[in-house]
Amino acid sequence: MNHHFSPEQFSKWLLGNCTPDEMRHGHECAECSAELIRVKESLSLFRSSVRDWADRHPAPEVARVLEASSGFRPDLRRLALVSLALAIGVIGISVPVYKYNSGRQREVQAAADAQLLDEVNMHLSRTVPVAMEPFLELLYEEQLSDETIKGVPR
Amino acid sequence: MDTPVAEISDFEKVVQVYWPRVFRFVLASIRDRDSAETLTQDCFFKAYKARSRFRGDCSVNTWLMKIAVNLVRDFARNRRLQFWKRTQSSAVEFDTVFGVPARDISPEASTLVKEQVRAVWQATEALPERQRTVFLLRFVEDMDLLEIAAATGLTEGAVKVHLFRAVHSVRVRIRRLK
Repeated sequence: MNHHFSPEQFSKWLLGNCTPDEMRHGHECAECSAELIRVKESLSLFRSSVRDWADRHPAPEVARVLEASSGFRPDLRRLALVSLALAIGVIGISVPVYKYNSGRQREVQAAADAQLLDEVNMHLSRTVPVAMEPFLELLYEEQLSDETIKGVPR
Repeated sequence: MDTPVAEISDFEKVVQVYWPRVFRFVLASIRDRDSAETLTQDCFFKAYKARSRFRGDCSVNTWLMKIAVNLVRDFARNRRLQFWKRTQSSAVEFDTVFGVPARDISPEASTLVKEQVRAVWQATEALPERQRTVFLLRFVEDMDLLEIAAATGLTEGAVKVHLFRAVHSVRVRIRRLK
């Protein structure tokens, strides 16, 4: 190699993915070597800083982790499914109940209508008014008496 | 050494061992302390619920990081939709996070160290989300390319490309310190 690292070669060197020639250049070229050392050092310091900071925040107890996570954020998908199931259940129950109630009402109405018709028929089927019925009985008895005297077969 | 499946059975130990790793990755990704704690909690809660389905195809670390990467991505997506919100008070500023440099170096060296770390911190903050994720997984969590690919759902080639670009951006920022 008689030129300096390209950005890609530089990254490959940092990631440990370089060719033997690139590895050699990284050690032999003063400019590339200095750049590599500076970047590696900065990355190492960054790594240590982040890790040291995080290590100052120890893990909470497992029970607290699970309790805190399970309490406040409901599973929205499950909630939607449950709501849908409830809605279907309500519809599934209310439709037959409505139909049953409608049928019962019709039956009751029909019975009432039938009773009214019977009463009307009974009224219409009388040949004489109610008030005249005692006279009908009297006439019927007199007719029977005449037929007995004349010997009319029954 | 326990297999990953055996390791996950002692969940209390899993939390103790991996909480700092997940937390620091999430914090460095989203720069908001309260949200980082919440997301880390969510990560372990999801892991706890899914532990019976874990088949040990990858390490426990990779598995947890995969959950964390997805949570960070969803958080970033939601945050972009809430652009009208002001910066949260729990947002992490560099100076409040990184500790005092070691005492056995000169003040000038200490300042230089702090500036180097600040440059990388600011560089990662400016990275696109995916580049920042792979950068942090590689240079803070020391995961190799295959592990990063497994955690992010990317191909190894895509991981390399993102890493190359991220490293270049960081280099440019560090070079300005000269």
